[in-house]
Amino acid sequence: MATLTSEIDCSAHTTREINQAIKRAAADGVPEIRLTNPAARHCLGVAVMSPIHVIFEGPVGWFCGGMSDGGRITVHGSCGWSVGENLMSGSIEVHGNGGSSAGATLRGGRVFVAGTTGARSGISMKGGTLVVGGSVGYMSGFMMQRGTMIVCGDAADGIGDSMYEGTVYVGGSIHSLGADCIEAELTDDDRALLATELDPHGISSTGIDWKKLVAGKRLWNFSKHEYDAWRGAL
Amino acid sequence: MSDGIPRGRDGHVLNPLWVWSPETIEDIQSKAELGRYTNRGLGMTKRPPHFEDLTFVPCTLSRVPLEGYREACATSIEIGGRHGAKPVRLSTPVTIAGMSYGALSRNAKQALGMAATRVGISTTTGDGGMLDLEREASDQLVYQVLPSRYGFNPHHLRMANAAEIVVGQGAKPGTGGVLLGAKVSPIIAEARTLPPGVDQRSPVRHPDFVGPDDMQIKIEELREATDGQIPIYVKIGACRVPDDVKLACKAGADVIVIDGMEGGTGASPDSLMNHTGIPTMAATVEAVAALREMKLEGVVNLIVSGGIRNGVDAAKALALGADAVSIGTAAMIALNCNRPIYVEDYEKLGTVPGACHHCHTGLCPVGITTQDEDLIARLPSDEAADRVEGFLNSMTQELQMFARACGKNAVHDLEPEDLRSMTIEASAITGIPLVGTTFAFRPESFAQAVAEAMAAATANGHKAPQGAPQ
Ligand code: SF4
Repeated sequence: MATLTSEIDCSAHTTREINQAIKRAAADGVPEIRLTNPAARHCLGVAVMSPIHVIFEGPVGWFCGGMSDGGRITVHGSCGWSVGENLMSGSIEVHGNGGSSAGATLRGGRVFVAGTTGARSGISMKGGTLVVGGSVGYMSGFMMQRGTMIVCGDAADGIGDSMYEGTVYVGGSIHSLGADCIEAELTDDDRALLATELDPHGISSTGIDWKKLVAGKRLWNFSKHEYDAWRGAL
Repeated sequence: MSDGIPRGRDGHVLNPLWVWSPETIEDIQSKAELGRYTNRGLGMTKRPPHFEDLTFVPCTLSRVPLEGYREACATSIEIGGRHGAKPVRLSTPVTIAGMSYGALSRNAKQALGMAATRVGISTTTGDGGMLDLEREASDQLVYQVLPSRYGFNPHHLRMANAAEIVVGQGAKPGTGGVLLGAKVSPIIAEARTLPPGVDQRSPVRHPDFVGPDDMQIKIEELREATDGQIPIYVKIGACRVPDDVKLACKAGADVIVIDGMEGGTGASPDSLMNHTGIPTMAATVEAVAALREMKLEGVVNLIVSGGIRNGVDAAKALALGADAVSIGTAAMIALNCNRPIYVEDYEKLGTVPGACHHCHTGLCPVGITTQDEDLIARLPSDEAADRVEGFLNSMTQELQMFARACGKNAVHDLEPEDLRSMTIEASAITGIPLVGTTFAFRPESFAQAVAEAMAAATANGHKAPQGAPQ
């Protein structure tokens, strides 16, 4: 009979042991596992493929929750680069800041970072939702293919560069748009989506001058008559 | 003729200028029309220093060969076990290189998997992820982790027999890929999460790491995702090979794949293919030396690729120290690429069999690099697999033939001493003596020769010239 909550002291185990304990617990139907002293260690909670709530009581390193599918991960601390990399489904909540490449190649599910994230957040997203409570760094949303990125703070240079599809919402200032990224009209549906995504985190979506960014589609197919657009992209 | 080039009565170009050759003129005029660089498939058009410039010196009186039809000559090798993963077992030291489903048709991918399985070697996915048919057909499948991550799926990763982080490829190191809109069919578009018909550009940098220290963490993530069960390869386009090999070793690679500039591609700017990277022969020598310096020769396995045409090239690569070779274009040619059938369709592309490099058009006359159903039907998987199997077996035979002739009962016992250089250039690159001499045209050989001459002169009572090395 599985215990309902497991607790692991990370300081006493290797990363492999921790990840295998999480996977075993998920396979055994344990609903929640609590990990203390993660000490910013890399690659924790990678490839969690079954429903389980994994709670890290402290900061985690790179690739936290990477390549997972169906789990729920909560980090009470900050995280390193590439949190939720290639997440298929499920959710990751970081109650601190994130590093660069947060939500890189996200395919599904949801990554929420309460604070600020670094350069290339939401890069090559293929689906899912990335919500950043603070600001994002340079070239965030680069080559985004699908999905939704919500930035409550500011966006550094080159936001949405070379997007294929997908939508980026920015609540603060935009330093510059990336190649072929254009501003689109914000609709009531957009406002409803923002409220749905932000309310659960206690962030009000009203009273903010949201900008909606999408692909201009001038880079979809090469045209020598649009050389200026391509000059910036190549 | 109306192209302004002076021609003889039979149409041949009279006194073409070297700088402004007919090829250069054609290149400029097509770029003027397109408004961009020209893309094409396959590989470089120049002749690089190549394995062709080496020759074997088999056994004669001074050493004894093995009997060709009687004495065993082992060919198998296990690779990738450095960190305790289940190694990839190759019955012969050849692998099928990564080629994407998208660049290649599903029948081509399936046929390559079937042939690899029958022979007992591995095949590799490509940009766009793992095709179900390919997984079913391939006993041992290497799953590529590319910068674009098109179609990347951790469940597929966990079904793979190895993972290969692609840092670059020999045909176009330092740049991303391109799949022109003609080949981004609705099925391919869905697999890559793209709008159908777009000119798909792939990024060059990985989205989640940048340098070698970061890659070490990425490798750790891949090991965690696969419970350490599968080897991790790192594939690098041959450029600064010694540095790159050492950095990949330090990052934890189990296998390093070095792809020389002769490497093929589905579509790439012509200028990149001809003007980037270093040749496979040179890269092999540098990679082996780097592994030796790290004391990791045989621990981190080395696969070399790029322009490997047959078992002879493979045997020379092994003699220089590679553990295995990887073939891409040769496998496509075995499938039927450039075969003189459906000649009228080659002509529609403005080419002829034997000179086709039009993979980027998506209109491959023989059904290999296309997503058009009628064209794909020209490549029945089973028959195509037979041809690739036959070619792979011929490579094994050639490998064994050269090893036996050199007196070796395992192809991996081939060594540099079994080779001689046919050109000064090859000798300078490989350190293997030029035919007819005992001299390798390398700086250290010259230094040694000068030192020996000086010592002899001094012994004969002559004074060393002023400024000569002491
Ligand atoms: S025959 Fe097909 S695969 Fe071969 S070069 Fe031509 S288009 Fe490419």
